[in-house]
Parts: sequence; C-alpha cells; structure tokens
Amino acid sequence: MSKNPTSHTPIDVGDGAAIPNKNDAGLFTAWRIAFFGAIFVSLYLAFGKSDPYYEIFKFVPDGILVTFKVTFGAILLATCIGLITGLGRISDNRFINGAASLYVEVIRGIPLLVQIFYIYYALGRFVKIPDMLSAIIAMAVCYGAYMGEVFRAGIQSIPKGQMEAALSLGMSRGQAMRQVILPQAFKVVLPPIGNEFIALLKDSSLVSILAVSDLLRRGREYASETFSYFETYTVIALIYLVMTLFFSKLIGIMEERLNAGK
Amino acid sequence: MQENSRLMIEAREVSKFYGAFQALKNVSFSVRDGEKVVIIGPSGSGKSTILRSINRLETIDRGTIIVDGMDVSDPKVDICKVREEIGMVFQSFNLFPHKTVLENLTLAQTVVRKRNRREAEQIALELLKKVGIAEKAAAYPAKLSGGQQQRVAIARSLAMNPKAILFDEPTSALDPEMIGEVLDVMKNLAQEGMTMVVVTHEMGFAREVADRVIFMDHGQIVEEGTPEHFFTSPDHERAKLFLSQIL
Amino acid sequence: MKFLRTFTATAALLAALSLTAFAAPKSIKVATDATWPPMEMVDTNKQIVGYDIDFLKAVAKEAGVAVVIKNTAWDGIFAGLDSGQYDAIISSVTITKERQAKYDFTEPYTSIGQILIVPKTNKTAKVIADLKGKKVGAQIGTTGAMEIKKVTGVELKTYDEIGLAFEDMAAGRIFGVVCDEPVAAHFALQKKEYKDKFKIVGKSFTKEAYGIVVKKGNKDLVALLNKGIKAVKAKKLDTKIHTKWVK
Repeated sequence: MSKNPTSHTPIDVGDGAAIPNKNDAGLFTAWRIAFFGAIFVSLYLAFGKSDPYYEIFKFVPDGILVTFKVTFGAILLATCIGLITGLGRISDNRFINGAASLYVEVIRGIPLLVQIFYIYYALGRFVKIPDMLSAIIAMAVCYGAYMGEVFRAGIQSIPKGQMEAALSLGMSRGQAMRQVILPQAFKVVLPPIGNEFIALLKDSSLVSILAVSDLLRRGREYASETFSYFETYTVIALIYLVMTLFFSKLIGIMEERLNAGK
Repeated sequence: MQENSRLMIEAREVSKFYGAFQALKNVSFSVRDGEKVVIIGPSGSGKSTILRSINRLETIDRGTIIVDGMDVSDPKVDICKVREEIGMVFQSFNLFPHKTVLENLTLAQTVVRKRNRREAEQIALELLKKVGIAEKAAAYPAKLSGGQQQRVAIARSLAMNPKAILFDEPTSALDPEMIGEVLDVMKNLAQEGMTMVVVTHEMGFAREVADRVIFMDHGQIVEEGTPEHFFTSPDHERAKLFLSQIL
Repeated sequence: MKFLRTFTATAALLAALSLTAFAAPKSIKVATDATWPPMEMVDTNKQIVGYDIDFLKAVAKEAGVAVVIKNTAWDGIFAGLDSGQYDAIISSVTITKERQAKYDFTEPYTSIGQILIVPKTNKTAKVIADLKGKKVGAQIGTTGAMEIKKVTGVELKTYDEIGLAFEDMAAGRIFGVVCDEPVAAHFALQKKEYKDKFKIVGKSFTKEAYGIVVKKGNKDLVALLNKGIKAVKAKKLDTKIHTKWVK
C-alpha cells in the first residue's frame, strides 16, 4: 500500500497493546518474553503448584468464552455503528451531521464505566433484552463513537481526487463511496480497528459489573468464596495478558498479509 | 472548425467567489461539437476552476453553464447525467488504486452504464489496446509509470463513450520523458473528432491541435482566438507577457 | 536516689499505659458494605445506618471502645481485612465453616435465613429448584449465591450489590433473587418501586447466624467484642435495635 501514489496519512490511535512491529526489535523481543513467559508461568502454576491454581484454571474457562463473545459481538456492532457515524460526520446534510457529531461528543464526554451502567439499566427499563446482548450493545455504543472518528479519519485520508474521479464518471455519491472510497478506507482503518479490538478485549472486563459472567467476574466469584484473592487475580491477569498478546500478534500478521497482498 | 455544428458547452457570465476573492469574473465562452479548445494562462488565473465548473466539481455563484442541453447550474438537474456524457482527465490521474487497470475501466461501465461484465471488459480491452497498454490490464495502477497511468485514465474516461472530454493539466504531473506518450494519445483522439477542452501548459500541443485558444488571467478571459493568431500576434499586453515568459 | 525513683515511677507508668493500650485499643476500624438494607445502608444524609451499625455502636459502648466505620465493597471486603485496612467486618456476615477456616468470628449476634423473591407474575415457583433452566441472582460471595449454586439446573448470576439484582429482575433479565430475609423484606415489601412487582415466596430455608469478623488469631479483639455483645444481649438492647430496623 505504501507504494500507491495515493499515500495515506496513517491514523494514530494510541490505545491497546502495542501491535508488535518486526521493525521495532525491542518491542518484538518484549512481546516474545511476555507472551511465552505468561504461558510458561500459567502452566507452572496450574501443574507445578497445583492448589489452588489448578482449581482456578478449571473454574474460569466459561468466563473466557463470555469475554470472547462480548468482545467479538461488540467489535462487530461497534464497527457498523462507527461506519454509519463516520459517514454521518462527513455528511453535507446538516441534520445527519449534527446527530452524528452529537453522539460522538456525548459518548466521549462520559466515562466508559458510567455509560455501561447507564445503557444496561436504561435498556432494561424500556425494552426486554437479555443481559449478554445488553452488555454487548452497551460496549458497542461506547466504542462506536471512537470507531466513528476512526472511520471519519480513514475516509478523509483518501485523496479528494478519488471522489472526483468517481463522480466525473457519472457515479452517484453513494456509488462512489461504496465502490471507490470505502474499500480504500477500510485498509486504512484496519490497524486502528485492530487497536480498538485489543482495547475492547481489555475493557470488556468492565461488563463484569453488569453481572455478566465474563473472565473477571468468574475470577471474582471464585475469590469471594475461597478468599484466595492473590492467586485468583494472578491467574486472571495472566489469562488476559496471553489473550491480548496473542490477538495483537494475530492482527499484526493480518496487517502484514494485507499490505503484502497488494 | 465546424461553424454550424451544435453547441456542446456554453458558459454565460459565470462568476465564482471564495469569500471575498473572485475566482471567476463573468466568464463566457462556448464549445461546439467536435471542437478542440485549449485554455491557457498563469497559475491562479481560474482556468482549472472554469473547467471543473463544467461538470460541477466546482459550483458557481452566478451565471449559467449549459452542457449538451442540460443546465449544470440548475440544482434540480441530475448532475450524474451530465457527468456520464462528459469525461474528465485529471492532473494526478486519480486511478482507483484498489482496482486493476481493467477494473478501473469496467467499474463505471457496469455501475453507471449498466453494461454486463463481459461487454464492459471487451470495451475496456479494446480501449487499452488503443492507448497502447493492453498488456497491463491485470496490473494494479501502482505498478504503472505515470505516463501509463494517465493513458489508462484517458481510456477509463473513453469507456463511457463521452460526448466530450475535459483535460485538467493532464501532463503537469508527468516526468518529461512521459509527456509525449500522453500527448500522442490526445492527438489521436483529436483526430478522431472528439470534443475536447484542455487546460495545459503544453504550447506545442495547443498550437498543433487547438481549434481555438482561450487565454485567462485573474479570473477573466483576456483573449480568445485561433492558435496562429494567439501565438504570433496576441492583441493584449498580458498575453504577450505570458507568452514571453513561457516560450 | 531521687532521680532513680522518678525514673522507676515513670517507667512503671509507661508500662502500665502501654499495657492497657495493648489490651484495649482506644478505637477500632470496622468495614461494612452499606448496600444491604436494612442491615447496613447509606441514608439520604450520606450516613451509614442500619441494624448492624446500631448494634456495633452499642457493642462498642459496652466494651468501652470507639469505632470508625468504613464503607467497603462486599467483593473484596475480606481481602481488606487480610491486608489490615481495618480491624473487623460487620456486614451481615453469616458464620460458615469456610469463612471460619480463614477468619475468626465473635459470638453470633442474630439469626436469619435465606429467602427467595420472584416477580409477582410467577404463580408457581415455591423454591429455587422451581426455577430450573432460568437465571437466579444473588450478591457475589454471599450465602445466598452459594445456595443457588447448590441447585443444579439453575444458573447463578452474581451482582456487586443486591440492589442491582433486583433492578435486573425488574428488567426481566433474571427470574429470582436469593438474599437474607430482612433484606428481601426491605426490597420486596417496602420499596415502592418493587412492592407491586415482586413477592417473597415461602419461608426462609436456611438457618444462619451473623457474626463480626476479625483477622485470624486476633484473640484480644474477639474477646473485647464478645464482652460487648454479651452486655448488649443482657440489657436486651439487641431486641430494641431489631424492632427499630426489622419489621
């Protein structure tokens, strides 16, 4: 992609685990040490130290599954919301633009934890939605605003000439957006979306306050009955670490593939 | 020059403002079917602005522009219909980098002209042959030289069977050794009778191909006439000064 | 000689002072999770009030010690005791074998039982087992949660605060809540938002006793608090407090 005449300005959204870059040797080594170190320590605790670590590892896996469900569900929904918001933010229609901007401003001004509480219990008041879905919606609404800014920046990073060329061929704005601008913008926003995914994976632990039995909640349940707080949170931290490092690596590889594929 | 052929483009008293700055001042001109008009002038003279107003990439504040019988300055007119009929070639090529050369040519054919894929590809391949890069059909634009990219851009515009093509400084972004290949394609087009409006600094091309030369400065048309007259004995001081600077 | 005498006297005095200080601290810090009405809660004046609070104050008065109450989230309230952030917990803590293995308790000071609350629309459920295949909520790490867990086929949902469980039941996300009887009465019978929505079913189905929790091995504090509890019970102060808070 870097060879394209239409070179895109990279979007810098600094959040989440750093996606390892092969060019950054120091970071790459750190990734290896952290990832394999965390796996080694986990295995040692589970099988070498046994009690209560083995019990904890047995207790939490369904929580990992819930964490995944919330994360993947929320990132998909947030991407859709983000795309619509991003398009709204660059719309010439004053009403649509205003609505999208208002949404972004409101969401960015409220702490994530407060929003999650608010959306979850607000949803509960007015519509009957199961808890897991409510949690996913709450996360997605929060992240949708940030994703909207990612998409807006991504779309605006595509040179103006692309839209003009498409229009001059007789395409409508919608056709030009779908056929020309968005396919290019998606490649630009992929790295920031990857970052958002990692951030969301970590922030998904916040849904544990909604009594969604995610990884953190499972750990808290275990600890609150056995009082082995230190051991439990050690395990929970290790599992989160392995997951975020694994996914940041995976996203890094995906990006590399995508760039090389051109 | 076919004096009796119908008007393809007609601009009447066109003005455009950027805040307090007036980019176009009562610009009026017309282009007949089959005519080749070259617009020249120093940078900032408004020549690109008037060209881009023809297919409403720029909006105008006063005046009217009629293209192929349709009023471009009327917001009720479906501008897409105008743009379907009027091709445009840009200084920076503006090929779609995520599509192959062939797909660049077929996209608007299928989306706008509703041609089926096979028909569109056939037309595309013929046009690529015509501009001399049929072998690059499967390549992505990034793999092409600037000259090749601009030839693809011309072919892309031709694929829509336009009634006229607007060229906005088509060779200004090219390395000198590639300018010739693009101008050759344009000359061939001219010979085939394509209606062309060209903004360029290539005076040789203007002299050779243009039916008429329009010289603009400070948002106004200063002088208009045949290339022989303009290049040998222009009437206005500003035109003389401009020619002395670039020739 | 005089000097020596003064020195001995001072030393004796100091020793006596430090001894009493060691035996009976002037002030103890006690944690409570004030989200468990009417046992412990925050009133509209932001004061921590409730059965446990009044009881603790009476005990402290009888034992001759001052108390500082610290509002602490239930999840982790034991961890805070481990790390020495406070000396004791009074927070409707049921004396269980598991808890006794890790912490020391005072004498039991009141008895309660777990009870089930369901929406009024549910006409059939009498016990937790009647809610098979459904979600039933309780506060995390409470005996109520443990009771739900014992019933196979019922999915336990744990909440940071019992109020959130009732709110979720009002939203239709869970189909029952299990908690201490006085708390159930507070939410299902007295709170006006829930009075028309929820009902208590059956009688309490466990026999539990609350105790004050201290760090394992803190025998002096247990003795001091037990002395206070005994005096409170002898004066029948506890029945007065009970009628004040629990209907």
